[in-house]
Formats: sequence, structure tokens, C-alpha cells
Amino acid sequence: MRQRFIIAMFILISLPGLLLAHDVVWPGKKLAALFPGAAKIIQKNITLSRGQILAIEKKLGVKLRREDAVPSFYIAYKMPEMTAAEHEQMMQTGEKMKIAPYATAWFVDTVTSRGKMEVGVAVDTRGKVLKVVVFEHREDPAIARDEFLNQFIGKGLEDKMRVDEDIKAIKGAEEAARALVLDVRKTLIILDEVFRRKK
Amino acid sequence: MKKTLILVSLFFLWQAASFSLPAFNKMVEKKFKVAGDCNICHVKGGGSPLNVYGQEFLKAGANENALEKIGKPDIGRGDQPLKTEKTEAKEAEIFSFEEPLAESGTATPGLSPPSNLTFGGAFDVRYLAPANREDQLMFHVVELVLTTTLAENVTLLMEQLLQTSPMESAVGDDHGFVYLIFSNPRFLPPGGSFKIGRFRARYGIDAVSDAAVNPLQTPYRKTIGFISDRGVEFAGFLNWLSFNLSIMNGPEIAGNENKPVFFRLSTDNIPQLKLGLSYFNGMSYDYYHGDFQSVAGVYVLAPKERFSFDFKKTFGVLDLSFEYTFGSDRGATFKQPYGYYLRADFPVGPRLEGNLKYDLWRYDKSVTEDERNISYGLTYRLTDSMRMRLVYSDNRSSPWPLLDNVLTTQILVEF
Repeated sequence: MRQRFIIAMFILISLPGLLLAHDVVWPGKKLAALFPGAAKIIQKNITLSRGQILAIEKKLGVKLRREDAVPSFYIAYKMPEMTAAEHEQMMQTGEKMKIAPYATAWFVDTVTSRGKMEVGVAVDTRGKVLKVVVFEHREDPAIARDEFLNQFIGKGLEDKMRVDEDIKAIKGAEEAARALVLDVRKTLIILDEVFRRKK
Repeated sequence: MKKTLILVSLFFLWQAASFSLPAFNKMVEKKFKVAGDCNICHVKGGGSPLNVYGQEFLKAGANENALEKIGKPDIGRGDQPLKTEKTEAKEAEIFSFEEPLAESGTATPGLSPPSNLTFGGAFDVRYLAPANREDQLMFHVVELVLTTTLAENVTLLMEQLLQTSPMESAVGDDHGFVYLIFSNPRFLPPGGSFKIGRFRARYGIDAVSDAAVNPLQTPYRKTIGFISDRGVEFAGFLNWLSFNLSIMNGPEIAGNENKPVFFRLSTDNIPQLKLGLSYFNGMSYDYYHGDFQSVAGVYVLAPKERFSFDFKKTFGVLDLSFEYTFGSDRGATFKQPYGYYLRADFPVGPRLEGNLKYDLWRYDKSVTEDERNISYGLTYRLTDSMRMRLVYSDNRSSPWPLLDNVLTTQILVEF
């Protein structure tokens, strides 16, 4: 029995949440990098239906990964933009200021030949990329700098994002640039499938 | 007389009203260089109800500053109500994040719907071939995980290891986890979280590694004595500095009322570098020279204090991890152990990664030999959700000859 215990100590199989697609820790710091100044951020776990997965894969042109089918989205809220007069009127009537969702983000893990890359993509309600942040990677450090990542800002579903045409890649990190383009396109397509306003 | 006054007043009011509109028109013409038109502010010409733009203009103060605030009117849409830039911006919104349901997709809006549940899991098979033993050992476990969002900022995680192979009934103290995470609680800085339940406290290099699913273990067990426990955790960050404070229940040994504390400060603000300082104080298993001390079959506890410094740095394609730990054990014998851990991960081919690990734990050189472990690993990623790993571990000075040299084959499938 004792030998078993010691062996068990040696084996020590324990998988607390590392395998989950949905985050099991609150990524507060990463969210602050994606949504500086957000008044509130909430998490929404989505499970894509089979139909949605097929529709997304058709638009994307590649298969979704297992974890892509159960994405965790983080929805950021902000104070409404209002004029001084509106603010004054609100103060007079005693009406409460309602915060509204303005963007959402998720975290995508991509594996390139150099290793894992963790990327956060934020998109606003107009369907435009608000921010892209590379948190972990083994690529050229330039891949995580704003000079490169800002190329994605404002891009939407209708925009082409061809590497070296629309998105200028870092020399020697073309594979990472293509992976990032795929991450951004995947984000936009999944959001379009899940959050598009009904007409 | 009174009637006359009222009539005169009404006349002037009418005059003011009828002449004020062209004045507003001129204001718009001057401000935006567009042709004035009553329909800029009215639904059907002057005197008709105000359209959206007119209402915005009135609300903003009905003067030049108001035009500045609400912006240029959208002209040229025939009889369509004119809009402000704000309403146009609203119309440009194609996503509604408040209603994330589209067709048959499921979301997590509240407490009750079963669609809120997400299942996952893993199948972990490890085949051990100890050099000093004729027979081999096979462990396999299935882990089932369920997550659900109970409310806007409350997430529940439940995880259970299922017993699928005989030996696994004694697999450490990590049979299962269940905890609630409350994000953005008011008593923590913005972006913080509060966790309650049974979980793995964040300590040392273990906090930023894949230790739980990798036979190349971190020194957590040697350093602290236990890995998971019931307790609460406060986590958050202030600018570049992250913090984790866990207060645990402590090992369940009769009479143990102690509540061990884990505290960790860390930062990842420097590109490709993670730095951490960890502290532990509390009663834990008296782990000594590869063994857990016991009296009459009951494990004994010792008051421990630990300090650790760790970093994880990426140099090109090489991931380097390091931890240095020191502290004191005030059990039956006073000890001042210390040790370190070094690990390197690097790609050696497409989907193939090499892993090297060395750790050393030292109690008292004059009494015992150092406890050392050297491990060599190869990890092959068959698919995004399936990995194969081969690890050779050389446990020098282990009091258990069985484990001196072990070859472990692992297949890990996530689902």
C-alpha cells in the first residue's frame, strides 16, 4: 500500500482545468490589455451547433479545432457617450446611466512550427477589429509589437487580409503572420455566426 | 385688457416660433455648408413633429454648440427621417452582444438552462517501465470536466478523475476539483477574481507550467507537500503586478486546525518573460528525502515556510523555466531545505518537442544525499487534441529503488 502511495506521488496525475477550452481562471490582466477602460467585462460561454460549425468552416476554408467549437467570449461594456446637455438632463431626471456592450474578445491558441502562440482578438459591435494582442509565442518578438498588430485594427469580414499584400509580415515570421490572419478571420466569422443582429 | 394681453403674447410666441426655424436653418447652413431645409429637423416640413435629428438638436440645447455636439445631418434620403451621427453609428452595429443567440447556438445568459453546460475531458494513459522491477505498471485515468456560467460573473468548474485502472485509486490527492470563480468582485481591484472550492494553489514555477499533465513534474510536491486543497483564492493585478493569495484548509490530519497560506506576486509585462515570487506558510506533510514521514501509519505534519523565485523565458524557440526555493521545516527535526528546478522545452521537428528537466532538493548534506531528478522527454503532437510523450526519469538518491530509473510512455487525448 505504501509503495502504491509513493508510486502515486510519482505519477501525480492531476489535470485541473488545463485541458479546457473555456478559461478556468479569470484573465483579468489580459482583458485589461484588450479593453482598457472598460466599465465591466463579463464572460459568455458558447457551444456552437453542428450547423454553425459547418457554416463557419465553409466560410473559413479550414476545419475548426475542437476548442473552437466551445469558445469563451468576454464582452466589454462602457459608459454611453453623451453630450453635456444630455448628461445634465440625466442628472435632473435622476435617470441612471446604462452601460452598454461595445466589444467582445476571445483567446485563440495557435500552433505553428515554432510552438504555441496565444492570441487575443477584440472586435467591436460594427464587426471591426478593435485590438489584437499576442500574449505568448516563440516567434520573432516583432510579431507581438503594435507596429505589426495595428495592421489588423479596423479590419472586418469584408476585408481581405492577404499576407504581404494587405498585411505586411515580419521577415522570417510569415507563418506566424498567416496564423494570425487565420485567427482574426476565424474570430470575425464565428462572431458573425453567433452575434449578428437579426434583421 | 387681459384678453388683449393674451392675444398679443400668443402673437409674439407664434412669431418667435415661425422665425426661429429659419434661424436654425441658417445655423445649419453656416455650420455644415449645406442647403437649409425644414426637413432637416422636421418630419414633414416646418411645424410638423421633430425628426430624430431635430429632437437631438433640441435636447442638446438648440444652439450652435448643439450642432457641434450632434454633428452633421444626413441629407438626401428623400422622406426618410434624418439621423444624427450617433443614430447612424448605432445602425452600423452589426453585432448584438447582449443577445448572443443565433439559430441553434447556445449561450449562457442565466442560471437555469442546461445549454449553459459545457463538457470536456481527457484520457491520460501512462505506461511505466521501472528499470529495477520486472513487471510494468500501467495507469490510465479519465477526467471529466464540466463548466457552466451560473450568473453574469460567476463560473463553476467541476472535475472528476474516474477510476479506470487499479493503481489509479491512489493517484495523489487530486481526485477531483470543484470551484466557483467570481470575477470582478467589488472587494478586489478591477479585473480581479475570487475563487472558492477545491483547487490547485498557484505556487512557484508550477503556476506557469503544464505540470499537471506532464510527467516532467515541477518541484511543487517536494517543496510544499500537498498540491490541491479546499480553500479560497483572491487574484488580481495592480498595473504590471499580479497577485494570488490562497488560504487553504490544510491536510486533514486529526487535530490540524492550521490554515496554510500561499501568496504569489508575478509579472509578465516584459515580453517573453514571466517572473514570480511565491511564499508559503503552514502545516504540511513532513516530506523528507523522498518520503512522507509517518508515525503508526499516520502521516505527520510539520510547520513549513517556503520562499520561491521563478522565471520562464523564451529565447527564440527555446522555453527556459527556473525555480529556486528555500525555507524551513520545524517538525521533529529542524531543517532548512533548499532546491532548484531547471527545464528547457524546444522544437526538434514538425510537431515534435524536446524536454529536459533537472531538479535538486537538499535537506542536510551531512545526513542525506541530495534528492535529484533528471528527466528527458519527447512530446509529439499528433493532433491539436492528442499528444504522445516519452519520458525517461533518473531519480538519483531516491529511497525507493523502484523509481530510480523509469521510462514513461504517455498518451493524452483531450475531448
